[in-house]
Amino acid sequence: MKMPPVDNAILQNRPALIRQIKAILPDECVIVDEAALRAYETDALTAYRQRPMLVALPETTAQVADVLKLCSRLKIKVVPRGAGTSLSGGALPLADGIVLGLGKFNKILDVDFDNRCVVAQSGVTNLAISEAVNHRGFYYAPDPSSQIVCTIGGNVSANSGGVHCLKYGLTTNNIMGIEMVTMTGEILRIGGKYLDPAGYDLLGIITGSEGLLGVITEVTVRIIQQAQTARAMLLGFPSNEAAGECVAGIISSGIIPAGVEMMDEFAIKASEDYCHAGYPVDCPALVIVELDGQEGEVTELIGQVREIAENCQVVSIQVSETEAERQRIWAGRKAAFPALGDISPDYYCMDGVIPRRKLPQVLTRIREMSDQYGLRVANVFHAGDGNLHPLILFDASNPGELQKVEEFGADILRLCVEVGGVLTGEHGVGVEKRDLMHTMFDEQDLQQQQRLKCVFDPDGGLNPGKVFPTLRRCAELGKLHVHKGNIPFPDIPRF
Amino acid sequence: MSERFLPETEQQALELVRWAVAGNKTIAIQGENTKQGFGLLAETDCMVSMRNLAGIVEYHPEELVMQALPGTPVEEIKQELNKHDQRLEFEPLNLGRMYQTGGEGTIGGVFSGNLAGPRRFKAGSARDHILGIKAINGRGETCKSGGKVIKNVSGYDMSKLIAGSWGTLSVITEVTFKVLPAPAASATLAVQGLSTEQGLKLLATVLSTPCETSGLAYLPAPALAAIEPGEEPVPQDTGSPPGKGDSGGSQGERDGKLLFPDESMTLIRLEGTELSVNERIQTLRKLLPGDRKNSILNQADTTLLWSKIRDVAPLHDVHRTPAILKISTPPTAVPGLTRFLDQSGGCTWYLDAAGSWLWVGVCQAATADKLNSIKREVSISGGNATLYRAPDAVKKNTGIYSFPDSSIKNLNEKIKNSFDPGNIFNPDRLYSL
Repeated sequence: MKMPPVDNAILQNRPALIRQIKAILPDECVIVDEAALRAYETDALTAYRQRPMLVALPETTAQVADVLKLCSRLKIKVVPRGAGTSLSGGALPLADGIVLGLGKFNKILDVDFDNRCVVAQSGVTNLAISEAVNHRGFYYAPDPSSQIVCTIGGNVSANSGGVHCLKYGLTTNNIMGIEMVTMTGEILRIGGKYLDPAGYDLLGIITGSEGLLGVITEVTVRIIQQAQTARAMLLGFPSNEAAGECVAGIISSGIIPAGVEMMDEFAIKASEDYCHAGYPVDCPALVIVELDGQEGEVTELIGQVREIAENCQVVSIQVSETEAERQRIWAGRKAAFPALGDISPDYYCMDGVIPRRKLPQVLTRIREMSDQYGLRVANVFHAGDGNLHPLILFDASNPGELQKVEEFGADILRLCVEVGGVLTGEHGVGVEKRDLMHTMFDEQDLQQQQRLKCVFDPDGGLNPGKVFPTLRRCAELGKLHVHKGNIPFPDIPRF
Repeated sequence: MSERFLPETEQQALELVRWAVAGNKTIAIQGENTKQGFGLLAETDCMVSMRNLAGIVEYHPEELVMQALPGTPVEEIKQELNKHDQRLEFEPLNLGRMYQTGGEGTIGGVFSGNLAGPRRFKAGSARDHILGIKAINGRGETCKSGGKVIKNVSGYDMSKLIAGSWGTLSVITEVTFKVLPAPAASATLAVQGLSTEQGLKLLATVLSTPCETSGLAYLPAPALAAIEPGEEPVPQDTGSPPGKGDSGGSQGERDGKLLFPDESMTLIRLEGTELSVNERIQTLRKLLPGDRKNSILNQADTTLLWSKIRDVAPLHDVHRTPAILKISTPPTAVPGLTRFLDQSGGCTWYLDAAGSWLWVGVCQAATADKLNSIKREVSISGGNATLYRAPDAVKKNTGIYSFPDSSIKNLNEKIKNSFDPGNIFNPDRLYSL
């Protein structure tokens, strides 16, 4: 993976930089020793590692601004980091850059039930927000699987989803405001405890921008009431086609389940061996459907889903009657990743999205590629929104195998785009999919995106080397190229 | 008279923009011209209507995705969705009455204006449903963003910027959006005679229960009285169950004049399966203040009533309330704001979106001073106000938006510049550069 060229002059000035950062932050907030830096050299995409010059852990927004001003002045690259759970290398450090960690921004500032929102510092974990409000039946809806550790600031940067986002939306649909510091050290407050901030949708563009536009220091999130009840159904099918047809049938009938997950044969077997959730191991495809709402309504919906499943050759049906049973049905799905980690030294998790109707075709192609590459693949699928997670099993200690896995992964993502889907549903582009952006976007599309980067960070010092395959200078992007000036188009109708 | 073009293909639109860029000509972009009342429309060198670049490109009900060309009439989209029992969940308001242009306009206009409706507090606005966009920027280059699937984090979410840009960043040439099933049943629980504080408290109480609601509004008597007479729903005295087969069989008298009683109404809309709506109504009724009359509106009346709330019917009369502000505010700031409005006089107002939206109509004396004083109050209380209607002179003085500070305004200007460096698209519509 090619990263921006390292500036040796900057590396040589490291001792001076440490002194200058320590003039802004207390000593204990600056990590410089080699052993301690190792903890920051990678995120959850562990295939890539790079030790940064230092890690700064500011405690206040003013300190964040001062650190960024300093780095901006000295032309030092900055990689922001929440909990480091990015699966796409979004927080991968740079050799001649610093990591700006938000770990000390860990306070919930305001729980405001009257306005149905919570104001939290950006390093607060996703789950902590829900825990702060659940005594009154509220919660924060997006629930990425890393929610115990991932931070709300990281969620904003990644526009995180979760298994319930079909019904309850992604991060972008559930936040109301942020405080953010730009690379030049300007502190911006966007939105707040109200809907619809004035002007262009700055929250919309910043959410999911992968730490390239600013360092998020505070987030205001919307909280909602938990449904009265939630029940899960576990449906076994004789084929991926039948399972896909059932999901399409449920949605066409007007039901939006709280969650719809699908697992293929390999994932089912691995998970069942690992956690014994009682999954039918002889089924080639499983669908989990969670329905929530009023009790009577949920019972009614379960009946409807059962009927749809029966019309799609369902061979096995389990319906949770208690909360414990609901948890058990989910336990198998949640165990799928660790289960695969148990049977293989390493696995690589992909994150493409496809139109759901293309699922059988895509799974068949993945199977063929799996044979070609000689690498096993298990598939878990957020079936409601078409987000496919193929998990490629491999052994990184075999020379060349990681590279083969990356090629296989890239082929899968190209396939997703080819059938009308996209490169990433929730893990982000980061460094991992950066060089595949051309499969979705042409040069002009990317240039317009990069002009937005220039609006916030004209010198490109914040998280460079992520998302965009080519670094460009803002002056070059800003030039207006006049295409042609001949008028007239007599063929265009007038009114 | 500026020249008016009706491109029929993306290529034609692209050629037009390139010609305009080369000659530094300004362009007013429109669909069916139903929302020209929003912002300041400057004199431009030419006008481009996208209404001939129309049609639904792809629609897969089971994928919850529709892709359409910008000039497609909203009416056509709704009809097509209706065939599959689906809808635009964000319930875009129809500005045709507010601007006295009649129609509902095009889907491109709906997304350009980031429109929404009473479901805003739950389902979001147009920007929450946009999935992908194709557009032409002010450099005469195509730029696309997003995709055709409902989950996507590939690159910046530029579609959201274009939603709500009112044609100042680009010419939209295609839009892809999420659609959702329309629930089988709906009903409204209406409570009479609560004060603003009591009404807000009730809305907050409802939101603290698991009884999911899709509309929470509070209309004081003057706002109710301002809804033009003729077709208003009549609250029923007793709660008969709502449902599909219930075709407006209200028990109250509908004499064409009787509207609501001469007191405030706090309105709670429920949607879902018939069973679920009934369950929730029964639960919620137990929470109501015992000394106030409440009633249930059936499905037909619910649809009609909430379309009035959505379309800002209480403020339609341009003679009575020439200026309209939409205030987005923390709900707890509402009592202070409404007290200010009532004390300073000359305003008709009501609350939508669970108290997050305060629509204010300002009467004949809708001077810039008056509007500015309201905007000051709003910014003190931590919200913001958008000017939806006013005489041009007033718009120029007060501005369309209230930016919280200069840094945000600055960012807006830089974003405009990044798409449209020559300021050729709808110049000065949102603010002057």
